[in-house]
Amino acid sequence: MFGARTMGPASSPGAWLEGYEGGLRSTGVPHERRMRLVAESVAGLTAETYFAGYVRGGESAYNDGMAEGQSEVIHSVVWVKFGPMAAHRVSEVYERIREPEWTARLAACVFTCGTATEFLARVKELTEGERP
Amino acid sequence: MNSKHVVTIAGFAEEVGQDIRSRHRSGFDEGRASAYEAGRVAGRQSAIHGLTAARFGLETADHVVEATRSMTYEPEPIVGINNSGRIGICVLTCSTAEELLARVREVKEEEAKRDRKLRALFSG
Repeated sequence: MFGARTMGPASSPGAWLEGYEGGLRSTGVPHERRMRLVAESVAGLTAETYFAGYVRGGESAYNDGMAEGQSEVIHSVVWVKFGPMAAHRVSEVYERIREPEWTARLAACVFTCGTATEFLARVKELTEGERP
Repeated sequence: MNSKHVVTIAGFAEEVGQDIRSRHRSGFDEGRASAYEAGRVAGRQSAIHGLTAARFGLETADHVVEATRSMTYEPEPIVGINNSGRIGICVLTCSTAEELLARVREVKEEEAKRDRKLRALFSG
């Protein structure tokens, strides 16, 4: 009947816990049982809140990491084939673009373009006109 | 109502509230760091796959990604480029898919040797 409860989304954890304990007390739940239920609720709230934060933190970070990982590899290849200026341009582009399909297009350009000028022109076309 | 008891619960609730808020923050930070690293690994893999597919076709790309799976978890290099970058360069410099796969194996073996040395160094 008096199982540990989870906090509603709008409550502050402290106020909720105080209310919960008060509610248990007003219905005559004995002190020891009340304390056990409060402790269970604290553990539940802590885990729940940690998990909510974990999920929230991961929401945008995955795509940021993905862009960083792609940029690392493409940057190295472009540096070797077209030089530092083109590589720098690639890093700049990755700061703005997060679509996974983008890398496949850029990878194709690395092999179809013969010079840095041609590569940079193609990157410009892709970023300005026909982004995936 | 026992006022001493109420004060104790209120104080406890306040402390718990602060603790729970800080747990949210640490969950947020750890979730962010973990997702960022997972994304980075996936990004390295997708870039290696995209480059290899563009040059040698999808089948070779799948083989290369499979062979380099453990290597894409590497940390940030202190100097120079990391192994994922080196594999990318191999895609550019190798003439055939066979040569590329052989080079990937070499890079992987070099990395394994480096790891063994590091482990030996830290284990005393």
